[in-house]
Amino acid sequence: MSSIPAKHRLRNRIWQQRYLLILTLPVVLWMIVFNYIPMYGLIIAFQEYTPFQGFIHSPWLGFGNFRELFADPTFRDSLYNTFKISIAKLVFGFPAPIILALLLNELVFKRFKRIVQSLTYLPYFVSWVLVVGFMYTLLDPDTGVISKLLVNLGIIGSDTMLMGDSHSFLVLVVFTEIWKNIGWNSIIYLAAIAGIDPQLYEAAVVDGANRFRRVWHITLPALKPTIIILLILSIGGLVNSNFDQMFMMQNSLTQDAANVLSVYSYKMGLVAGRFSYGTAIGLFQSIVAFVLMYIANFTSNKITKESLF
Amino acid sequence: MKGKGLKISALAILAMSMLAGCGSGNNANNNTNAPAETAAANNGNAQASAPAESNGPSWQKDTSPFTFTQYFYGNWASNYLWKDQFAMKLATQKTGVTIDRKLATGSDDDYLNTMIASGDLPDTIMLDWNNPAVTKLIKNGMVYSMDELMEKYAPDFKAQLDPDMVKYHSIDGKLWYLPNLYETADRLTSGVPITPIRPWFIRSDIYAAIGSPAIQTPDDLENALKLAKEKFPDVSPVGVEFFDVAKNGFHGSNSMDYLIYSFSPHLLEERVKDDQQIVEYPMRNKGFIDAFRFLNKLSLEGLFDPQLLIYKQEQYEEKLYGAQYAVASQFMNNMYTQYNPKIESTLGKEQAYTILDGLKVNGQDPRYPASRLMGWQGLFITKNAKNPERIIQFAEYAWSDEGQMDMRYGTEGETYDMVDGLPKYKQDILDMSVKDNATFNSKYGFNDSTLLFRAGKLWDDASARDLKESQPVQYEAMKMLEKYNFDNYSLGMENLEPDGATAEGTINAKVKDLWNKTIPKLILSKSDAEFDSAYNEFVKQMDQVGAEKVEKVMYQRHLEDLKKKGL
Repeated sequence: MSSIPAKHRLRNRIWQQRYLLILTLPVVLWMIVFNYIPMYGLIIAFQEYTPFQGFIHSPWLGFGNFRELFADPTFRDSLYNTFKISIAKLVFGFPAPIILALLLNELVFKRFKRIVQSLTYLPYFVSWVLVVGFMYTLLDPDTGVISKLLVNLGIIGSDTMLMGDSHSFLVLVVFTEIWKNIGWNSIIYLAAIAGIDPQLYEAAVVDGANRFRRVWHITLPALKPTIIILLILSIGGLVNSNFDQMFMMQNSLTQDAANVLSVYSYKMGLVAGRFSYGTAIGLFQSIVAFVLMYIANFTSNKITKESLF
Repeated sequence: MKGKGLKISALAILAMSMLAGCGSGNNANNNTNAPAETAAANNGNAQASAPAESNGPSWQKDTSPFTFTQYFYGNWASNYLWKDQFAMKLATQKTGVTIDRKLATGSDDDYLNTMIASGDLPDTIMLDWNNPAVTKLIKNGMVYSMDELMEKYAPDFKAQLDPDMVKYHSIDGKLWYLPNLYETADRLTSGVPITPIRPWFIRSDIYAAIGSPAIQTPDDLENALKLAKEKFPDVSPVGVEFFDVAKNGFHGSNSMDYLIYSFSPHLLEERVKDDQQIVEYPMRNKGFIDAFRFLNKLSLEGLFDPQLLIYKQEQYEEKLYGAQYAVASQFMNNMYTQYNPKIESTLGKEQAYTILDGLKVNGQDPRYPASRLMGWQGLFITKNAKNPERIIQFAEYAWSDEGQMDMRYGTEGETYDMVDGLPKYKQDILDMSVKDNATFNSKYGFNDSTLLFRAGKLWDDASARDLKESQPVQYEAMKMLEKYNFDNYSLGMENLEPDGATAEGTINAKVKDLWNKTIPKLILSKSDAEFDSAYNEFVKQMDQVGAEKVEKVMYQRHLEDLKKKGL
């Protein structure tokens, strides 16, 4: 193989993979049109952009917007909040679908498994607007069913306003996120589990391994590559807290807790009309996301030999 | 790991691409430039050929069917859409013009800023003349100046405009918009009495049950609320509208004015510090803060439901329709034409709300700053307009006495008669306007064309008379509060906040954000000491972000306002 010149090798590979490449073409085109071309708009992060002067003729500021950003106490708060919420979501939310997938896989009664699976991924299709609407109703201190239940169980006081309390805010954010996405996210793991060779389990049974042993020594190691890839992606997403959720759950009592980067970028960019400043926040967010993902990928590659690229 | 670099960059691009958008700005700009140039060219021609012959109003020259689009700033304004209401149909019959009015589907500021950023503007815009985006529209050359259009297409129009109005609303020597609801000085003495605050009301049966005590001071009010809570534990003692500094201004909630101008009757005068050349933020005023301290006191006594701080307007309204507050605040006209009628028909007449008198603090009467309106929205004609000629000519019609009467009263003999020199709706229409306001709006739309409404003695006096006859209770309530009004026109306190695009505008936005966060802390403080420390912390932060710079700008704008008014 090493005797073939590099040029020929590439040409041969393209020829061999021609059908696959044709299949990818529409997606690549789509990405160029909708993701790559609009990227030139990012230059307004370095300008004092006014719509009339446009992308090219707006006055340049260099790193002015970024200097202001790092001196802005609200930005620092929002950065802190973003990481706080994302890390809580990662710690509690990441293992949840794995556990659900393992539990579902152990169910013997297949019909029950299918029903549970459908029910758990149904919330994924409900929009955050509705979910937060439900929350306001269910958690109302006077009339909410869940509030009443928690009061009677002695978990909260009778006048606790769950939706207006910055301490319960984090719990609610993480809990609803898990509730909404657990079923959907477990599908990938279930698919990976389905791909495991049943002979491995049969051999383990012959060797006398109990259920727990089988999960520990066969299912989990087989899931490892999937888990690691998804973990790397999640770490990259640490700076992107869920905008819909935060925006909807924000009210005058929780505005400090709910002020995350994406909400702040929206507030500055669209509500206050400071397009450049809003873009600078967004660009910062993307760069941090990329750096985090790269570090996670690199670390994983060194330690586990599993990586995204 | 072949092609690693490529993959990395692909991922980076993927990650970044999500925040890029609004790519059409440049093209749109080129487009908006073009009509301006051709218009300028036309201008030259017109002047060369012949001075526009002024035979009668310009709008009569061309009455062929013509539709122009309009964005109306106010997503709540579904009543104001031009459909086939009587008033709108009449205007179309006479002029051929139809307005295709659009509202924002979500937040108005999002919608407006997105339109501006993409350069994709409708033919005309109705936008509050003191909105920060107004400067953007003008500075970016996105709108025509009215002088230019009037000169070219409607030569008689300018003479009909009140010179004071033109002087007040001109920016850089030109008029860029025509104000809707502009009122002249005699408005304070004629027409419906002005109620410049959200009044507070008490539920009639509760008031009777606690022995109808006189409520003249904040202490009286507090005691009444305590009694109300004892006797009616299921009813929430007090209800105020939602708090949002960005939307409502520094008072936070529109309901606060009632308290603020009791605790600080001279607030506006006290804010101006000529010796230091600043106009202070109201948050530095002791009386202003005392109004919030009063709410904190109510909160400490369990009389203020903290849920009011997270309620949306709709949730508050729903509870008010159910008469679930002992004392509640609401816009005067809405209380008497929407809430009370609904409460009377569903819950019974005894649960309707009665007006409370103004509260006296330290024996002083409150003072409500009642300016005549300098205008509400401005009508802007954008450079995107396909036919600015027809639009400005239509504006001349709308501004004229004929247009005003058409859109307010319709056709004489059909929808109104002249009684003692004043117009009066036919009896069935008058009844409908009181009993079934929704049908009145959708069928006749006499309050809804809102484009270039202006004050005029004829219709102002007529509406005062109608109100007195058809709603004597509301008229009495207005009269009762009117005695606290004072004319703040000469104080020069209009439109003080700095332009959003400037450095001071940014500081101002930060101050508002800080204050917005501080209000709930103040109201829900567990003690006076906690209240004071939250307040002091706020003042410290406000000074840190540079509040004083804004206060200096506000002083300059105060001087400008005086100058524009010729004072």
